[in-house]
Amino acid sequence: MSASKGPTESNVRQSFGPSQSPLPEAGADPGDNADPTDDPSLEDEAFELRAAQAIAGDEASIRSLWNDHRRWVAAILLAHKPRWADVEDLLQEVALSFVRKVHELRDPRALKPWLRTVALNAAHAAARSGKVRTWATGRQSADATHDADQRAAPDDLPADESHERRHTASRLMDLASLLPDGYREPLLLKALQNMSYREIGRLMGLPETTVETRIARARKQLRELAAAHGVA
Amino acid sequence: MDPNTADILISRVVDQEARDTDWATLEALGSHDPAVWRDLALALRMNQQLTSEVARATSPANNVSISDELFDTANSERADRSLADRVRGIGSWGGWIAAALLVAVFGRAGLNQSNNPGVASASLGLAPAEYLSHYLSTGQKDGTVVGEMPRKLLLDTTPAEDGGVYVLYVRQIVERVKVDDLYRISVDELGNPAPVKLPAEVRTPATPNAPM
Repeated sequence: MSASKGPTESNVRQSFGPSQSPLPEAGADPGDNADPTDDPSLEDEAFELRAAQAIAGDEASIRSLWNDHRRWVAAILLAHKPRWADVEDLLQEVALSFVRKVHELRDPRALKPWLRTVALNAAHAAARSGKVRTWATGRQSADATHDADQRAAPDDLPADESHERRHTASRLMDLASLLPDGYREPLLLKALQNMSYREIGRLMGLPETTVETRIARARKQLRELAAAHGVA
Repeated sequence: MDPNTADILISRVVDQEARDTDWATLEALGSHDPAVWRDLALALRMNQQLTSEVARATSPANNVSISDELFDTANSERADRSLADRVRGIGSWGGWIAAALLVAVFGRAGLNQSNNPGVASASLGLAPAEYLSHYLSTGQKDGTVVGEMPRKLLLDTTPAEDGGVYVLYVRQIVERVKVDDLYRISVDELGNPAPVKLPAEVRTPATPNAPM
């Protein structure tokens, strides 16, 4: 199963792709022509092994994969959900679909793009239906053993963050919702601070250079929007 | 120079991906246009704010774990789907009909063994086919059996060891019973089965051979 790539991908590639860019790729080693995707890291191999176990029905692998990836799934939902929809409710929908259908996957490498597609579908379905199922049960505390995302929990936000600063940040997020989908999603994924251009590119089915360009364009447009609305 | 160059370089600085050559290019641009530095400062500040806001907005993810109940729900649904797929995959045989199913709950139907013509014959010492024939004829006499549908529903076929094929099928017998209320099984907003009372007059197929 392949993930959707967004309606403006070809245009963006044409306008901002590697052949058009006067700059070397970020983080690239000059003279190194090797394609990093041909040399999967040990981390990739470990992920694929765990994904294969999840596809085979191993519940521990399904749980640990979900715990490791739910944070960026939340960012995807944030980028595409209707304004009124609750991220946590949508995440419950995605979690249920994940458990229900992960065994239908054939290629462990497709798990992340597939999970992104599930999240996109959940967000779009909420927008179409005008409502999200409210989950009365099933919200449980995160398993600290597997929870790699605790560092970004609200308690870890800067203690001196003032109410005004939070208000500004909230308005900034509102302005980000005005960005094109294809720009907003990589921008929010990057804002998670733990995803590289390469990881985002794999998730969205885009070249790293396109991801970098989209993020740069998103930031520029956000600066312009902020200036126009007197934010920041 | 490409007008997007400054934006890409600023973005690289924000993402801590800028190399020496990127900084050199940025400094060259900034020496001619101070707005580059203003944009860089603004981009860094906005990224800090956006990062904290994304962290806050996605933090509910830590509350969404995969519970045992979720596995149970998924496994149960999978089992139901597997059965449904199997029945669907059986296909038709000899033009046998695929009957639509109306699930009805008979409220206070008053059904008991004395109303079932087949039970009364339990001690007759007949062969199974004779039991059925007796049930049909007796039921038709007292009005509880309308008749048997001419077509049968194929469930499964298995080759027999000594040749031939074992056939698993459903014989469809139409019965009639008087009830006080009629209900259809629906589901509520949580997906739980819930009876829905039907009107007194429920439309039925015009001909006996039409799918139910």
